[in-house]
Formats: sequence, C-alpha cells, structure tokens
Amino acid sequence: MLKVNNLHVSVNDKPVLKGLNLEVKAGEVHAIMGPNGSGKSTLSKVIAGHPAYKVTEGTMEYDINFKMTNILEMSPDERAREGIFLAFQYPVEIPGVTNFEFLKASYNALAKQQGFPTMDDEKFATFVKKKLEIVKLNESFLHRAVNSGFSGGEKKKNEIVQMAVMSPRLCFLDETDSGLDIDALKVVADGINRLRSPNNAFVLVTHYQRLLDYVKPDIVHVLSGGRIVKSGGKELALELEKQGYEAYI
Amino acid sequence: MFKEKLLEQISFLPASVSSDGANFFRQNLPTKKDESWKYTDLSFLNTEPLAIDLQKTYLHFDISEAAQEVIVKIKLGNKATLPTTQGFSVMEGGSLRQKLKDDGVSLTLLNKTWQEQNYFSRLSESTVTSDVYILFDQQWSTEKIFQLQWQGSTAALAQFGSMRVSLVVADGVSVQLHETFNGNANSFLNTTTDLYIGANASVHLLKSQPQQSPRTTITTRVRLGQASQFYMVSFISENMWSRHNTYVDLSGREAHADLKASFLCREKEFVDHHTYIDHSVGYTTSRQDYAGVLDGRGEGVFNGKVHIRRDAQKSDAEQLSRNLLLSKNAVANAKPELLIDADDVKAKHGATIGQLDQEEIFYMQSRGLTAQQARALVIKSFVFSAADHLPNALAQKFYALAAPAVQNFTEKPS
Repeated sequence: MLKVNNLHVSVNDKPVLKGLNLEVKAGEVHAIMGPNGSGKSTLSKVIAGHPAYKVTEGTMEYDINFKMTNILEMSPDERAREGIFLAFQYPVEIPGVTNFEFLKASYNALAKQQGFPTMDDEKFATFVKKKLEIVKLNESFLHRAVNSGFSGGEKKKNEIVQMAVMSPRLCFLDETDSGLDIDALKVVADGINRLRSPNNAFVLVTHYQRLLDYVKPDIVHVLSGGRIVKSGGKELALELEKQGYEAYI
Repeated sequence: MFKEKLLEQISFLPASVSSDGANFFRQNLPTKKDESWKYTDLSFLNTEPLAIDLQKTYLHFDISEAAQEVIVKIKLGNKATLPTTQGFSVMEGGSLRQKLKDDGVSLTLLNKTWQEQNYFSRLSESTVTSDVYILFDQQWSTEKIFQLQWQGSTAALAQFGSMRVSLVVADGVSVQLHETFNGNANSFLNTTTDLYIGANASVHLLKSQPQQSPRTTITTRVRLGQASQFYMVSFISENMWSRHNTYVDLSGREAHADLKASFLCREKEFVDHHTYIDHSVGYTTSRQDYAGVLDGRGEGVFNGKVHIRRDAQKSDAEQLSRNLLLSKNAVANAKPELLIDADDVKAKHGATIGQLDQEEIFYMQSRGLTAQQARALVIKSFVFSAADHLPNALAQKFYALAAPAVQNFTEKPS
C-alpha cells in the first residue's frame, strides 16, 4: 500500500530524514518509535504533504487504483481524498467553523472523489452520530468550533472521529496517545481497533509502548537519526520500554 | 464642488434650517484632518459629477405586504398622504407626539436631543421637509419582518439623495427590521434612521448593502428605554464606498445593545464603521463585534468609542474588531476606544488583524478540502458569525445574502 524508499527530507534547509525506508501493506499495523528529534513527526507530516517539509531525495509510492503511484507531487488534499489520513499530534483549532460543517465538508469532498453520493445536513447528522459513539463523544461536539476550547483528550478523540468519517486506507497517527489519561487512551485505542480492517493499514507514531498494549502492532520500527534503524515484532517495543533508545542514538 | 452645489440649492431647504444650515454646511464638510474622518476619503464628492436636487424633499412611501413581511420603499418625491396599516403608522412628528400624549406614553426618549451627529446626518435631517415617524404599536406582529428599503437614484445621472426617518417602538413591542440601501452604483445615498425603543421593547435590525449599490453614508441612532434590547447586524459585500455611523444611547436602566458587522471588501472598496455607545445610566450593557475580510486593495475601518458616564455604575461593555487580511495591499484600521468615568464597571476592548493561518489551511487540506475550499470555509465562518443573535427569519435572510456573496468573493479572488 505504501512504499517509501531512501527518503530524504529537509525542514528550513536542515536535513531531518536521511534515507528512510518503509513498506506498509493492507491490513497491517506498524508502530514507529524513537527518541525526540529522530524525525517521527517529520515523517507523518511529509506523508500528509505539508508544504514546509521538502523532499530532497527518494520516492514515496502509494497504491491508487491498484497501481503504486508516486505521491510526492500530490497536494495534501489530493492525498487525503485518495485515503491518506494523518491524525495530528497537535490538532489545529479552527474558530468559527463547526465540527459538523467541517466533517460534512470533508466527507463530501471524499465522496465526490470516490464516486459516492454526497450527504445533506439531515443524512450526515444520522451518519456522524454513529461515528461519535466510537469514541464516546456526545452530539454537542458537532456544534462546537473545530477543536476550539477542547481538552487534550477531546482533541485526540475528535481526530479519531474524523478518521472514522473519512474511512481512510492509510492512517498515520502522530503521537495520538500523548496527553491522554488512561481512560481516554483506552477509548481512543478501542476506536482505532474498531476501525481496523483487512483493507486499511495503521502507522502508530509514538514515544511509549503503552498504546501498543491496546493496539497490537504487527511490526515495530525504531526511527533514529532520520532512518529506520531496526524493525521487529511487538517484543521490540517492550525491549525499548526497558532499555530506552540509548543503544540506537 | 459638492459643497458649492449644495449651497446653491440651500434656499430649497425649509426656512428653519436654511440660514443656520448654510453656514454649517459651508464650514463643516469633513476632511481627513478631522479625527473621526481621518481614514475616510471624501474627495470623490468634488471630483465626480454628482447632481444634487433639494427640491424633492418629501419622503414617499410605497408599502406592500408579502408573507410574514411588510416591505416599505422610501424615496424622495412629492408630498403624499402618509400611510397607516395594522401594527404601524407613518405620521409627522406633531401628530405622533399628540397621539403618544393622548395614549399616556412618556415622551422622554423622543424629547432628548441627539448629542451625536455628523455632517451627513445633519444634512439628511435638514433636507427632509417633514419629520416623519413610523410608530410600531401593540398590534405589530413580532413574527413579521419590516423591510425598510431606501431607494437612491436610479437615474442614469449620478445623484445625491438624502433622507431621514424615525422609528418608534412602543413599550413591550418586539420588531424585526431589515434595512437595505439601493440605487445606482454611481450615486450617493445618505440616510439617517433614528430608533426609539420603548421600555421592555426589543429590536433586531439587519442592515444590508447589496453589491453594486450606491456609495452611502448611513447613520443609525438608537435610544433605548428601560430593560429594552437592541441587536444590530450589518452586512456589506463588495460595496464601493460606505461609511456607517452608529450612535447608541443606553438611557434606560438594564438596556442592552449588541452591534455586529461583517463585511467583504476588495479591489479599491472601502467600508468604514464608526460607533459611539453612550452608557448614560447604570446596569446597561453593550457588545460590539466587527469582522472584516479584506482582499486586493480593500480598506476597512473600525473606529468605536464606548463612553461609560459617571452615573452608569455596574455597566458592562465589550468591543472587538476582527480583521482578516488576504493580500499585502489590503488595509485594516482598527481603533477601539473606552472612555470611562465610573469606577464600578466592566469594560474591555480588542482588535485583531491577521492573515489566514497556513496550519489551519493544511489541517483542512489533510481532511480532503482543497486550499480554496478551506479558505472559503474560514471566510464563511468569519462572516456568518455575525448572525449568531438574529431570530431565525432574519438569520435566514442574512444567510441568503451572505452565502452567495462569500462564494463570489472566494471563487474570484482579487
């Protein structure tokens, strides 16, 4: 589904990713762990197409209509409409735009691209209520401005709602577990598990392995110095938890 | 040239204003040297051909009814009978005062003279021979919208038209108003609307200026009685030049005024809001929120003053000017002011001038919206926030006006 080869990325002319390789297949859950400054968030942003992150070398291919396609030239919205989703580490507040309006606009943008019928307010209200239940948010969230005045936990849950509405194929979750208390972590993890399917793939970017207690990864990668330096099974996360990242810096 | 043309016709004004008026109008045409006109360029008055005809000085009313709506067109014309219908009456000042007196209604609100005026409000007062009032009484249906359509010149030749009307809302009556300003884009329409809101009465006023409407100087003066409420929303979309003067006199205890505006401005368009909120008695509250979206070489002004007088203890005032600049050549001038003579009050003011946040745009793009859709959504929410306090029917009117205007504005950037 996703094949990243020898990826080099600079931010403000400073190299951050230095030859990263990653392959993700449908149905898999990957975890990318690594110390601060290793390039985890950069990888997430560059997958989503943030304009401030410049790819200086390498390729990034993604399965579009059963064909591996170079997505580096695609805008962030084109990537999103093709099923790439990034759950933000720091979800952005958009004062004045209600969650309902935002989610509906997002859903309809995807529906148009993917050839589904768009929804009016009434239909979408019924549809989105079920998505809120996944992370136990009540309906009042729909009428609040996007992320404005939300607690840290509410913002992260809202990201999961957006993911549920968009039904992406490739989901990058950038430190979705940070700032969550244990109850919220369970709710968010449960939401992720409910959205897993053989047709989609998840990449969980995290510092800690505690999220992985609830969302079992198939492959764990260690990202350090802008490269993936080791890959393994779930046991690698436990090893990192015990021994830290020192051996990889 | 404007002044000279005006003075040439001063003899057409009523005798009571012509002698004083001539001096006033000769000496006081504002310039940028006047503090409250420093951002307002009136030079077009002298450079563009603008016909002035002060001979037609009577207000002509054309009234029609639609479902849940009374439409009143006002234009300058010859003397005609003033209409009366269920729920409201149009009458001259003398008759109105007599009627109110007969009904045992206090004339306090009406008898206080307006401290706040400007060159153009004075002109609109002076050029109308009869002082005309519209009285809303207990029979007025709160569900109906009273649409006041000011009709400027529709002649091919650019004309200057100046009118004033006063609205009196009886105690306890609720009125929904929609005021529009129409006419040729090359004309100049000068209006003054004086509103007297009785005790426990409420008024929701939507003011809108369609695209390609005349240049305008619009003065709205509002005096509020005890525990009355006034909500005003102005919407201006791509109007060449407009100046709005809003004066609110909170003269009744527990009176509340809420002023909101949103405007879209680009090319060389100019929108200028001046407000003066006078908290003259205690326990009065006011809120102001003016939101402008400026693109191209558009220019917006918010110059708002809140005055809390010595006797207005326990008053509470807030004012905010918000501006979204979409181009490097757009200009927003924000000047919120507080003047506080009392010591037990709450008051705050603020101004924000910013650009579209690129992280917001990226976030929305990552959810499938194009950059243009994201931009349009932010602008729409910015503009639509003005309608928050309107009753449903008026809010729907606002949305019907604002939605295509925002679409047009965002789809065809400067």
